[in-house]
This record gives sequence, C-alpha cells and structure tokens, in this order.
Amino acid sequence: MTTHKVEQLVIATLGFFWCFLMWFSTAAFSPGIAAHYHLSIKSLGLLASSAIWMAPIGRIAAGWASDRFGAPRTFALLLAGCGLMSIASAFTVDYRLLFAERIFVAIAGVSFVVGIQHVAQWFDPHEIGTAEGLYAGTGNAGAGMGALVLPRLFGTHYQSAFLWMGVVALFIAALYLVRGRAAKTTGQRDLVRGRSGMRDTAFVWSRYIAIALMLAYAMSFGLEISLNAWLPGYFTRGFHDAIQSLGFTGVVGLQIAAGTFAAVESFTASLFRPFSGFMSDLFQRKGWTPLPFIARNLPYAPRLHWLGTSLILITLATSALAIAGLSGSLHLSVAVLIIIGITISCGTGGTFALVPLLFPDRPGTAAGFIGGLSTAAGIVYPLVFAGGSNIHIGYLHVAMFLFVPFVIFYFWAARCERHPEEHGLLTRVFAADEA
Amino acid sequence: MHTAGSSTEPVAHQPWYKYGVAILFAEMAIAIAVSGYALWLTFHGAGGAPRMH
Repeated sequence: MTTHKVEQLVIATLGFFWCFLMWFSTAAFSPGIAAHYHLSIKSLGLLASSAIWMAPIGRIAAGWASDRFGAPRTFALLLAGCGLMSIASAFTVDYRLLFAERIFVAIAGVSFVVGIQHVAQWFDPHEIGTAEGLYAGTGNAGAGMGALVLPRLFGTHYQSAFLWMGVVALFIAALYLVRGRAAKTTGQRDLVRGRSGMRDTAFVWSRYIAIALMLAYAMSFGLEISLNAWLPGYFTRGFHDAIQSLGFTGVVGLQIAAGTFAAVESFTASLFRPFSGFMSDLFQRKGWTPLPFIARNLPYAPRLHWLGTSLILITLATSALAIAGLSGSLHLSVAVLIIIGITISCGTGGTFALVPLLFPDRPGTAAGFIGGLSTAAGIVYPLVFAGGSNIHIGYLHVAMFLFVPFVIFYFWAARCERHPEEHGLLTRVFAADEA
Repeated sequence: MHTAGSSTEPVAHQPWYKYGVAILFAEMAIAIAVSGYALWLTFHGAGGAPRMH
C-alpha cells in the first residue's frame, strides 16, 4: 500500500483531535452532570481533576508502546478502547460508575505522545516544526471545540454526545489501523524499536534542566488542560448571576455560555502555539537575553530567556485571573483568559523549542518525561482551584505557591553557561558508567 | 517540536509546506475569531448566541 507523509499527518491529527474532544467532553457537560446528580463544588473539582489522572503514567507508557509496537497500533487501540467505554458511559445511570467510566475515557489524553512519535517518524528535521505544530495545534483545538460546540449540539443530553463520540472513535480507530504506517522506512522503524533503554531514561529524568523544563511544561500545558477541565464549572458557579443577566437561563443556557467562555483559553493556547515558535526564533535571531541569572553564552541562550519570560507572563496572567474574578467582572475575566491562553502557548511552544537542542541524542525519552509527568499538574490545579475559601482565589494560590517556586527553579537550572544537561542527580554514577 | 531557526541555511521546502503554514495562520485567525465571539457574547448576551439544538 502506498502512502504519503501528509496522509500520515492527517490521520494522526484526526485521531488526536478526536481523542482530545473525548478527553474533555466530560468537562463540557459538567454543569449538566452536576445539575443531574446534584454535585457539590468539591465534587465538581474532583470531576474536573479526574480527566487528567491517567495522563502522567499513561503518556510515559504510551510513548514506550509507540516505539515498541508502532504508533498506528497504539493509537488504534487507544481510540477503540476509549470509544467503547464512551459508548458504555452513555447508558450509565449511577454517578460512581459514570465517574469511573469517564476516567477510563480520559486515557484518550495520552494520545499526544503517540502522535508526536508518529509524525516525527515521517518528517525531516527542517519541516518537523511545522508538521508537529499542525499536529499539536489542530489536535489540541479538539478540547476547545468540545467546550464550544458540544453543549450547542446536545444541550444537557450528554449521554447522546458520549454515544456518538464513541461510535466515531471506533471508525477513526479502523482508519488508523488500515491506513497508518509506523515510519517512513523499515530501517527507521527498527532503529526506534531498539532505543530508549532504562539507563537513558534515568539519565534524562535526573537532569536539573529536564526537571526545570518539565515544571515549565506543567506551568503551561498543565495549566491549559486543568483549565479545560475546570473552566466550564467555574463560570457556571463563579459568574452564575452575570451569565443569567446576559439572558442565558436554565442549565442549557448556562452550559452554552460557560462553554463558550472556557473555549477562549483552549483555542488561544492551542492555535497560538506556532506564534511562540516565531517568538523563540526572534529571540534567537536578535540574540536577546534580557533576564538575570539565566545563561547568556550558550548557543540557544536566547531561547532559554524566551521561555523564562513566558513563565513570568504565565504567573502574572494567572494572578490576574484571580483579581478579575474577585472584581466580579465577567468581561475582564474573559479578556484575561485570552491573555492566559496566549501566555500558555508561549510556554508550551518555548519548552519544546528547547527539548531537541538540550537532548539531541535522547529527544524521545526527554519528550516523554517532560510531556508526560508534567500533566500531573493538571490533576493538582483543579483541586487547588476548588479548595479555596472563594472560587476565584485558587488561581492566586496556584500562582504564588506553585508557579513562583517553579520559576525560581527554572532560573537556577538554566544558569549554567556550559552543558546544562550534564548537571543533575547521580552524575558520578553516569560518569562512571561512561568510563 | 519547533526547531525552525536553529539553522540559518536556506532550505528548499516541499509543496505541502506552504499549505501547512497557511493552515497554521488560519488556525490563529480562528483563535482570534473565537476570542472575539466570546467577548461579544459577554457584552450582548443570549441575543448573539446561535443555538443549534
């Protein structure tokens, strides 16, 4: 069977888009589910956080499975399993069972690393940025599309939405299995299968700069996915009166309005990702190194400074969301969400502009660690958001008690003027192994 | 994984590439449109919200 790399890109993007649509479809209907089962704010926070429970370990395992069995088989299995469970959840009437089934469906979120691996197997280095940008940006938009479109299409009938999404997932799984090819050549396929040993994994996981990038991704992508899950419920609870005064009445109206406002963050964070790549290139081209402490003499030092700048902007924007919420202004909160989305895209794009440069020999292992473990942040943030005395103050808690320490660690880890990837835990052990 | 800009040497791109870049710009335009729509909703309310169901 003949194929083309663009066909592989389209298949991967379609699968990823649909997986993200399924991943955050629970959040899109959270107001309806909360009303149906009379959930408290704490239960809503738990439901929001549960979407991400499977991601940290699941992404690391999925990355390994992609290398071992090939992306098409791994992706098809993910789509089919999540699709079948989504169909099952459409017929469930007990909340605890529904909660468990939706956690299983949330495994769809691990698909990101499978597609990243798939696309990387087909595109050359000079075009990989655009190819991965198309894949990641378009696929991530599935989350925003869910928040924007699903409540309009299905109202409070989340059971119908879960059923249809499951059925379509089964069709895409079949398409992936029939048309998907793991790599451009058999040799490349076999090479990847033989790599990524335990020693390489331990080396990457113990590097300070890798940990710093993982925390940077937790601040950016972790915040993005936590907001995807949290915001529909937040707007429904935090701006109930303001949304009703706009004319949105009943659960359906609230769900539509809250989903639309929530989609702003997801769309800007996903679709502005290439803009961050452009800014990273601009910093590099101009040689800008404006921040103190961070290295200035490394070949990619400007990119380190761009990411540092992005992390500071994310911290400020997240704090601003708390202030906007406390002011009671819906307009201001939505406007701040747009800014948060753009700063998040700067963080995600800025992080993965550095990964291949810092770990050129182990890009897959580094991407699995940074892109996988960081999603644990998406579990923690909604719990902090829901745990405050006031529904708006949680953003400030996250910014002050999590983001500020993360930024300080990043500045410390990025200070080395020579080979920052050599600094880390167990350095003597690895040096002895090399000898 | 964005790596463009790491090298200053000009590269001859394949035909698909220009369409890929065009789609990236179109996606940014969609993000701006959705943001504008959401802000418009906050000012105009349900009167501006099309319902498909």
